[in-house]
Amino acid sequence: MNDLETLLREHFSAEADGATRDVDLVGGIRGLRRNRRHRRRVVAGAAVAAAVVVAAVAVPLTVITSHHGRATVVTVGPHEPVGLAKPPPGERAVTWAGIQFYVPAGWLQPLSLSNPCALPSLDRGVVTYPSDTPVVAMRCPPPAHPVLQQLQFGDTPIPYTGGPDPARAPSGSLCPDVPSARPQVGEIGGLSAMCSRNWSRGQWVTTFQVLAVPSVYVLTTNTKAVADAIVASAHRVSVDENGCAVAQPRNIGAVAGGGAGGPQVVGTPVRGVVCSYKAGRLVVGVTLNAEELTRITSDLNALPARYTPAELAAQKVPSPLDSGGLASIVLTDASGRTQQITVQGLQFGVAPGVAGATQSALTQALAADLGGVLPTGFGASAFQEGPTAQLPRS
Amino acid sequence: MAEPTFEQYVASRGASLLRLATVLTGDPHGAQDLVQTALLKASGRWRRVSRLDHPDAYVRKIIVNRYVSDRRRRSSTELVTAAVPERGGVDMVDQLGVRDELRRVLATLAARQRAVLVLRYYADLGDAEIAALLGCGESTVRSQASRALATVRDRLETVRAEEP
Repeated sequence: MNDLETLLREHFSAEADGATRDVDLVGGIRGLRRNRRHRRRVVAGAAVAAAVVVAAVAVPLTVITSHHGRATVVTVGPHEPVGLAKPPPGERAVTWAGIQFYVPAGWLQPLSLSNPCALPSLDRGVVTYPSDTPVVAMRCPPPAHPVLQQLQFGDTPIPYTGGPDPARAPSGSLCPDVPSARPQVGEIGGLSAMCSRNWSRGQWVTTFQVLAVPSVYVLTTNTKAVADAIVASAHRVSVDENGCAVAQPRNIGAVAGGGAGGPQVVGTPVRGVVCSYKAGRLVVGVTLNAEELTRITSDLNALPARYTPAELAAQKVPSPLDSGGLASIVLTDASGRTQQITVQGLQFGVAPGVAGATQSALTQALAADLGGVLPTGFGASAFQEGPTAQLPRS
Repeated sequence: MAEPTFEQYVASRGASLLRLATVLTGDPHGAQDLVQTALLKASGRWRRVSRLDHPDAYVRKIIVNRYVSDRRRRSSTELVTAAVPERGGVDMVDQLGVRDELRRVLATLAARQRAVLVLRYYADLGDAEIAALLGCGESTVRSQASRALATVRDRLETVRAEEP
């Protein structure tokens, strides 16, 4: 056996060790069965949507389910806002996998689906999420400036738990001073972390990983100092800069109280945040600007009441089965009262054109507007498949 | 001897199937989806499956083929990458750096090529067994493996050559 084959064996074996343990497969399969039975009922036309008026307990609850449009909307509340992180002046906070960094305030997250090709000029940095690059690669011409400073977020399937002994970081920067040196391990913000560095195409490439967190952060910068400052700012958070919990809150999608037909949004929100989750983890949080807030509020209020809580409960399945992801919209009115609305992307698509066309039309505007504000694959994977789904604005 | 119930089978073999799916997909969450979908399919015909000499082979075949078809379908719409997009300047000095790069290269392989490597070097299956699982000929398995290995080797060597 040659070296490459040996390497492959070792690599695959290590990846297998990263397999999720203690998974309730049988329970998950029961959930899948329930979900498919429900879909069949929809396809057969047996599930007839009905607006049901139930005495309100806390706030009105209204549910819309759309399999073809792939959106389930649940209104629950009340929801207490959570604390927000404050970045230092001149910087802004960005968060991935529960680790927050401060980057220069001018750095952009430019690749939202509403404007995916807006790459910045050379002197501004960018922050990119895992699904940004392929989305942009498909839709946009090659960037005018292929070399950008950037912080890339990514997943590593296996958290670092040992292996070859990395060098301990000397005092000073966690990241090696010279390219291609052994990765260094040290502490940043109370976190055990590892950093390696290289030099490529005229830029420094700094790879940073918090041990035991299955994520990687790659910085491409013109100077080492920029990368070192960003790495030094790393700290763990439970809430991101928009107020989104980094772990999916248990109450998302829960049925809270009875519901009545009528506007989904209670009162007039003055602030709106969308937190999108996948597999129980925050993918990205977005604070809506005034125009987005108005549009999404209008989209939500255009939805009629549909399902009863009992139907909703039967349809809920564990999040990992719903690979389309889930978005929590938190709206706050002038008095500080908050309302949380969950939009669940349903990846289990009924064959296009078979069923749900009417419901798809109901949620199309909301789907498009959410796809427009969320910068990562939430919109792409949840709403852009199928001929009747509406593409986000371009 | 009585055939195992579906629940008994999942209890005894679920972890192993999850490991295989994790190696295939490189994504523990995606692996759960894949295994649950495969088991759901198997459960629908469990009476027949449980009487097979090797129920594992049947379920494994569903997992592998589902993985290949999912990757093919997804590649026409959106590429959801579990890893950071490919970058230059990867640390190749130590084993950890090689693993990082290897993970990136494997993520770029065609689904069938990756499946062949996984089945050969993780599941330790022979070419004939792999061919049966993938529904192709042994010569196809050999050519896919050869191409995949060449791609991986070339990429690792290119990255080494780019090092200062």
